[in-house]
Amino acid sequence: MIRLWLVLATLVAVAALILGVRANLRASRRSRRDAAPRWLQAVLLWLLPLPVLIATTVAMARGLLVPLLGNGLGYGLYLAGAWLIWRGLGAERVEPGRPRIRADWPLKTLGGGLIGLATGITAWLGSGHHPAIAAAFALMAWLGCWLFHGGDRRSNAGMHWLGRRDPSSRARSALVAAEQRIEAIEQASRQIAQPDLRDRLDRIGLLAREILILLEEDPGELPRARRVLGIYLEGVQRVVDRYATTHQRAALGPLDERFRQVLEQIETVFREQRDRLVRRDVMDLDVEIEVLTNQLKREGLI
Amino acid sequence: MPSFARRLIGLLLILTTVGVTAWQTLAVSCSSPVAAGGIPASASGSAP
Repeated sequence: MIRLWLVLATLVAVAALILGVRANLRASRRSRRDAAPRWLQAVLLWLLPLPVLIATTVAMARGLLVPLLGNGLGYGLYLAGAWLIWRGLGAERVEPGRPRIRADWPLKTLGGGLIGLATGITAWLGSGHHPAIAAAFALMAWLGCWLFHGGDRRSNAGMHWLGRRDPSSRARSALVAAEQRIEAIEQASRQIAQPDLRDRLDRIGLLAREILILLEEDPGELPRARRVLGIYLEGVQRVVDRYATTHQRAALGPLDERFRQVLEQIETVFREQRDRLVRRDVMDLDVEIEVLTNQLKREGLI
Repeated sequence: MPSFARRLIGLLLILTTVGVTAWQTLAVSCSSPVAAGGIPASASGSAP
């Protein structure tokens, strides 16, 4: 019976390996930023430990207390670890054209640790291995998770660790506030009927997100760039709000054209800002802030 | 280490640790000599 189970497990493992490698090759060809395919991650996280759940039920039915506790605890830890890794992968998954700020907590590392612990406990109390062997299983499982799912891409700009906020948490708050403002702009732009205006707002949102990602990687530029983001994003939000309000009252004409001009200018400046951050050139940001502030004042938007 | 090789090694490690542990635990649970109620099968009267 044991031999049959082992043969079955080997067959499943080999089949998953072949399919995974094939999908992995395709994924790496499709996109450099794509991690392992989502179905393979789901199989590894949610389906692979499923025999432990069955073993728990069998142990309960047969009245085996220690295996019942070991397997039950192990399966619970497997689920908790899988959930953390799943959340970690979701947080850093890049939607097409919509980069996101990275997660505060090292979810994948914590999840990998829980899966390692679950493997160790299951091997010790469920399979009856010596604790040292079980510890080796745990270490190898954690290493496997770390290698396969990758480490957490940690943010330098404000990291919360064990509930304490480090000195750059203000920077992190600024980035989160900017992201919330971008989301508000994107939500408002969906209600605008003019396709060209909507497309321009989408492009502005995308550029702003790219700037946020660049700032997160190099928080040294944040104090100056934060001013640009603050003024510009506030300007865009006001344009969108004002446009929505005035559009309900009457047909626009010259006003429509003014909105377009302001958004066009903001898009240009955002693009330049992004390019400068890529080149690490922020010398004339102050001049640009001044120019844009005057422009927005002239348009009555700030 | 190239990304593909890293992920392949990780996949192998997960399969050989989590997979083997899970199936082995199931096999041990199914083949354990202890009967319901915690009484070993040999002591339940069925064996000579």
